[in-house]
Amino acid sequence: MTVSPGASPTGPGLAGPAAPAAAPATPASPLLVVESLTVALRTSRGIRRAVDGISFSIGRGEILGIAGESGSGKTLTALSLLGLLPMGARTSGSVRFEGRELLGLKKRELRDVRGRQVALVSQDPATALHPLLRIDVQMTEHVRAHLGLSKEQADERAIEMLTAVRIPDPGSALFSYPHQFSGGMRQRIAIAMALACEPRLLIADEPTTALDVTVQAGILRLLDRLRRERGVSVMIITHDLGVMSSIADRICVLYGGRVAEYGATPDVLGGPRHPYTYGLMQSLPSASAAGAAMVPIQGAPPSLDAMPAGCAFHPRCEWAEERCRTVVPTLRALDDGRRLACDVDPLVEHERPLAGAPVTQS
Amino acid sequence: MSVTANDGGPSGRSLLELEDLDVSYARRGHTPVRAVIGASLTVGVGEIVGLVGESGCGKSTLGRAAVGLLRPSAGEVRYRGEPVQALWRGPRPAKFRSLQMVFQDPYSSLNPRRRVGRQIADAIRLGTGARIDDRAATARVGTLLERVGLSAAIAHRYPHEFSGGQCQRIAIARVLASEPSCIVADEPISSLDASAQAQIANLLAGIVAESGLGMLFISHDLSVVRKIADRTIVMYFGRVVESGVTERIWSDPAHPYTRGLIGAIPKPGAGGSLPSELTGDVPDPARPPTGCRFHPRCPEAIDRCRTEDPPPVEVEPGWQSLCLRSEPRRAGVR
Repeated sequence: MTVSPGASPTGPGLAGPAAPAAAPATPASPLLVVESLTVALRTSRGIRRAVDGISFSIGRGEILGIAGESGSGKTLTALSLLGLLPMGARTSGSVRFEGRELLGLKKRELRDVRGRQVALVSQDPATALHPLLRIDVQMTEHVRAHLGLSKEQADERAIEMLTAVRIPDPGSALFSYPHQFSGGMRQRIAIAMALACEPRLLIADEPTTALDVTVQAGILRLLDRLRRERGVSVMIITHDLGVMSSIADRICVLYGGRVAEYGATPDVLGGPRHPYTYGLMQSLPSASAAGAAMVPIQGAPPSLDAMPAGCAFHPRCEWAEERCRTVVPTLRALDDGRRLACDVDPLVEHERPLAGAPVTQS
Repeated sequence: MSVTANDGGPSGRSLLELEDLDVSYARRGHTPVRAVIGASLTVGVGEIVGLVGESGCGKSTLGRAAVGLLRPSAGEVRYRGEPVQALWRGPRPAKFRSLQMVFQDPYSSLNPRRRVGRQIADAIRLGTGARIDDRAATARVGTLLERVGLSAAIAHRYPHEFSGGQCQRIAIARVLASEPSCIVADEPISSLDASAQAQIANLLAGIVAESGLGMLFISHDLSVVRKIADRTIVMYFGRVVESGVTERIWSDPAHPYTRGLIGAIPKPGAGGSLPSELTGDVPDPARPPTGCRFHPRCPEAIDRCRTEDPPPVEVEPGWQSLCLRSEPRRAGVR
C-alpha cells in the first residue's frame, strides 16, 4: 500500500529539477521508524503521558499524514523527533532515523541531525522567520554551519532553493525582509529554508492551516513535487482531512496520545473503521448531502489532566460499550494492512464508498 | 460598477443593507488604500449570507463597517432602514444594539478575568437595557448557555477552563444575550478544532433557522459557506465579484475567480488528487492592477481585461458576476 516513488538513498542531485527515479527505494528499510514512543510531561496534577506508545514509520519519498485535534499528541510526537521537547519531558521507546537511534542523543549529535537531516516547517511562517533579518542571513546561517559552505556558495544554494519553491525573482528576494512577502510566500520561504541542507525528512506541522485555500493548493503541490523530484520524505501534521487525502500516502490518526487508526490513505479515509476517524469524516461539510446539516462529533477532545480511562474516545463514541470504559483497546492489524485500535469495531460491516480489498477481522 | 445582491432573503424583508460601500485606510504620506470598493449587499430576515474570499480581499473590513466598527469613506450601511453610525465616543444608540458581531478568536473576545456568567449578564443588561436583578440575570444566563449547548452550571467558571469550541459557544451566548436580529460573524469557526467547526457552524445555522435573525457569515472556508449560506457573495481585492444563490454559484460558478477558489479546495475521501492551484498572490493594494483587478491571475483573461473595468453582468435574476466574459444565461437552462 505504501507508495514510495523512486528516490536514491544518497539523494538526487541538487541542480537536477526532475531527478530520475533511477535507484529504486529499498522497501525493506524505512527512513524513520518510531516504536512505542511515549512522552511524559509534568503537569500541575502530576506526570501525564501526552504521547502514549505511538508507533509508525515513514518510507523514503513517502508522505505520512498525522491527523488529530488539539491534545492528540501530534505536535509533541514531531518535536520528539527533533529533540525539541519542552524541559522536563521524559521520553521512552525508540525513534530510529536511517537506523540511528535519536532518543537520548547528546546535544552535539542531535545538532547534526536537526536541520541537516530532519527539518521542521511550522504552522506560522510569520514566527518561523526573524522579522529583522534579511532572508539571505536566515537562509544561509544553518547551511554554512552544517555544510561548511562559504557565504557565496550558500547564497547560491539559497537562490536555488527559492527557485525550487517558485519564489519569483529569487535573486532579489534573497536580499529582502520577511514583511515584504505575503503569507503564502513566507511559507514557501520557510520551506526553502528547511530544504536548504537537503534534509531527508521534512516535518510540516500544520503548514497550510494559516493560509488561504488558493495558497494551500500551491504549498501542497510543492510538497508533492519535492518528494517526487528530490525524494524527500514528508511527515505532514494536519487536522484537515481534505489536505490529507490529496497528499498523504498513508495516514496515522491520533487521539488522546494514542494511535486510533493507521493505514493507507485510500483505505482509512475511503472506509474509516475507527469511530473517531468516521466521525471526523462525517463532520466535514462535503460529507453530508447538500441540504443536510453537518454531523459533528459531540463533545470536545480530552485534556491531558482529564484523560478518560479505557479507550480515550469512549465518552464521545456512539458505539461505546462497557469494556471501552475500562480496557485500553489494543492496536491490531487488519487484512488490508491497516492498524485499528477499537475492540468494538462497529464499522466493519459499514458500507464502504470505495471499492477495495474485502475487509475481514483478523 | 458594483455588483448588487439584493433580493432580501426568504422573507423578502431586508435587515442589513450595504450600498456602494467604500472603506479606505489612510496611510501617512501615501494615498489611502481602498480596502472595499463599491460593495452592495443585503441580509434579509431569516437568511444566512456567506461572504468568501482570500485574506486581504476586504471581507473583514466590510464586516466591521457593517456593524459600525469602521467608518465608510463613501456609501451607506443601513440597519432596518436607518443609517448605521460608526462607533465613536459614547454609547452605541439603542436602536443598533440588536446588530451584533461574533469574532474569530473566542479567547480574545472574552474577558479572561471575568466569570463567563457575569460576562453574559453584562450583555443582557447593556445589550437590551433591561434592569434585572441578579437572580433574574442568573436564570437568563442559564437559558442562554443551554441554548448554545452548554450546561447552566458553568456560569461561574473562567474562559481559560474551556476549549476553543466551548469558548466560541460562550461568546455566541453573550451575543444572543442582547437579543440580536442581525449577526455579523467574522470567521467564527476558523480557529477551532476539526470537530468543533461543524458544531459551531450547525449552532449558528440553527439559531438563524429558529429565531429568524439575519446573518452575514464571513469565512474563507467555502465548503462550510456552501453548507449553511442561502446566498453567497465572493469578494476579490475589495470588490464583490460574484453573488447569488449558494447552490447555483457552487455548481456552476460564473466568475473565473470563484472557479479558482472552488478548484483549490482539497476533496476529502479516497480518491486523493491534488487541488488545482490558482497562481499568484493578491496584488499590492497600494498599486492595484488596471482594468479588471483579477486579470493578472485570471487564466481566462483577454486583452480587454487589462484595460476595461468589467461591468456587473446579470447571469440570472439575483445572480451577478463582475466579469467581461460572463454572459446572461438563457432562461430554462436552470
